Amino acid sequence: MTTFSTTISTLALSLLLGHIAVGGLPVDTAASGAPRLPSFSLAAFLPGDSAPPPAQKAADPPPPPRPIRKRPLLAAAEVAGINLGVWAFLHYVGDAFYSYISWETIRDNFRDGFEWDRSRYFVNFYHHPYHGYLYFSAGRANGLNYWGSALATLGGSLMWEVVMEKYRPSINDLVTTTAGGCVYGEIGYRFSALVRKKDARGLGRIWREAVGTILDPIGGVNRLLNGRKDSDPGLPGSPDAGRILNGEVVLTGPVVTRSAELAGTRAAPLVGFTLNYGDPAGTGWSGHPFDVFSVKGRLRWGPDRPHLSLFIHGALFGKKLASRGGTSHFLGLYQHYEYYGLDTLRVCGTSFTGGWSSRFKFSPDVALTASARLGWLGLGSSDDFYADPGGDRRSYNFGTGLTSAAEVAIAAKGYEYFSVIWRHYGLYALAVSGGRAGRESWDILQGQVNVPVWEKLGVGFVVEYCGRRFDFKDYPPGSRRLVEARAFVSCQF
Amino acid sequence: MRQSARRQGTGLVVVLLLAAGVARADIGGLKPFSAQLDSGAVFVKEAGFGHGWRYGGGVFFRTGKRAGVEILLERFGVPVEEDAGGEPGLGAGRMDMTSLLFNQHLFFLSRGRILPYAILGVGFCFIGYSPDDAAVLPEKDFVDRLALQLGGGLDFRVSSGLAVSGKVRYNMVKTWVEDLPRTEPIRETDPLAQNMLHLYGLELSLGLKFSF
Repeated sequence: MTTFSTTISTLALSLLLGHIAVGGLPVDTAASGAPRLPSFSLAAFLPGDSAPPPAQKAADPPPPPRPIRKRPLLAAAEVAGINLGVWAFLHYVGDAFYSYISWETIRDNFRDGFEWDRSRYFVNFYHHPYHGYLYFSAGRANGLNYWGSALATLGGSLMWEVVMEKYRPSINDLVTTTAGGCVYGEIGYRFSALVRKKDARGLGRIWREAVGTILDPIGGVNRLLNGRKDSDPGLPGSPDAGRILNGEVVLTGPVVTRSAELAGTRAAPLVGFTLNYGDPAGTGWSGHPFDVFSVKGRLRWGPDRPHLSLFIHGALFGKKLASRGGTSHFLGLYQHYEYYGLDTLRVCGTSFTGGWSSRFKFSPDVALTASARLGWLGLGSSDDFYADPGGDRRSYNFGTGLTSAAEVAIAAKGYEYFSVIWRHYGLYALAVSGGRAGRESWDILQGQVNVPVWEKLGVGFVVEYCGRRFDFKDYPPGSRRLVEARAFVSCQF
Repeated sequence: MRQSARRQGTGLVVVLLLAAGVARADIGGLKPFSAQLDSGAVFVKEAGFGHGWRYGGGVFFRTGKRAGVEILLERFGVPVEEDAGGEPGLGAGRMDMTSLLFNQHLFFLSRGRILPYAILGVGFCFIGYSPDDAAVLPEKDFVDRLALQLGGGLDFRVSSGLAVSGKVRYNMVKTWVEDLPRTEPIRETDPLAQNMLHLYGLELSLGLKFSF
């Protein structure tokens, strides 16, 4: 079930991106003289109603914050309901062996405490965060803020681990479900607020509610049960929702991959997207977690099976620094959830970093955006190719360590021509649950050139390098490298 | 024949009109708290298991205009035939089940004398087995389970503080019989390798609900 839901939500995000149409700039972005990066509002693209013209939107004063009724008990009840519903499905439909629970298994779980769980890689690091997404959605749907919803996610995950499975509770599942669930849940909630619209009627209402429910599942169910009240959380006008986003959709043909150490050249088609919510340089930051975030995702088919990669980071705390002449700076504490998957290299992790982001204006039309982050990779994981290289993907190492990232992009007249992204993960393997002791270092570097061809459509070329150096106990140190080059068609918005 | 049918039809209309009149009489909405006692019959679906009496008691908390949570302790016992459920070596005897239930009630009406509702919940079921021959110590036992509860009920409110409550509920226990004594924690047993018994019990009950 989780696989199906995950697939649906991923597809929904892709479908959303395919329907994006022109919207307006945030009011304070325009006022500050920040470059007019082309921006789109999701609220404008669904049928049944039309978006207000950008000029009119920019002139409107920001809506006053509207108090939302907080219902923590209902949120807790819905979190418990999610767990019982998932358990009932797994027990009576799926006949899952771990769903045979009783008072006795719960008592044993309390007595024996936590352990490390080695489910399949994709299950542990993608499905579990999706489960957490539902808990977080329950918190948000009942008026809780980010931190209240994070607590609901932690509580839901704890209940699942201790009560709803016959196995001992898993510490890594608790971490990935909670941390990943908060990240997925908050971006889903923010996007749902861009889609839903007050007073929408007819087909427009149906589309908006359906897509909003995929993005914010429990909020959608609540709206259905309470008659879709327009005073509910998750609508434009909520104090911390409903900003403008911009980004890019990329479609490539076969990807040419080469590796110095891995034999052969392989090809795989790929679709990717980038969404920037809010201004990374801090314009419009109002002090709420995830007022500014970025989602970078891609799905590539093959060469062996579909591989999903997701890079998400959002500001939890931040401070916009004084700027002049269109230049702006932002200092922030960020939360990350990252999942990088290829057929031969996989790494993922949940982390917290501190960093800055700046935008420098060289002329009214040309801007350079640069950012850097450094922090703690709380819980990461990488595949263990020494063991079971082609098996059911349960061979991986848990680790903790350091992570860093840097990004530079140059845009002219709102079109991003050039960008370079570097990410680094330094993992110290925890050697738990059969994992290998040692350390490894990952570097992912991506350089991209993009040229507009017609309006927002462009063509480009990207080169991506992924390098992994490792030094495991009882094994000789070594490295793996992979270089990809691909041409693409893109649509920036 | 036609006269009899007409009489029955007229009687049905009168009963429906009376019921509608009673139902329309407004004695307020649900009260925040209730204590309840009920009793009735239980029929276990699995082959070789019979039917018996059940009784229970508990409390009910209103959590919304049309919702509430019931916490109920119930117990029932049914006869078990030899090799019931295809379980070899299980002697004739009696199965007793004590359950702690957490049931959500979703009411279709929020006020009035007649309040129908749906039941959705879970129960911690503690299942015991005693062979008919009291001199023989049991060598087998049923494994305790968490079970889904599905059903519905109807409260007929005699006054704002007293209601007669009728319920129909399915207690969906999936379990197996284990050999005694157990040598390892139950989590180490693979349930999918066991002879699974679907002890789905249809429970019919009638009780009193005192509201405060």
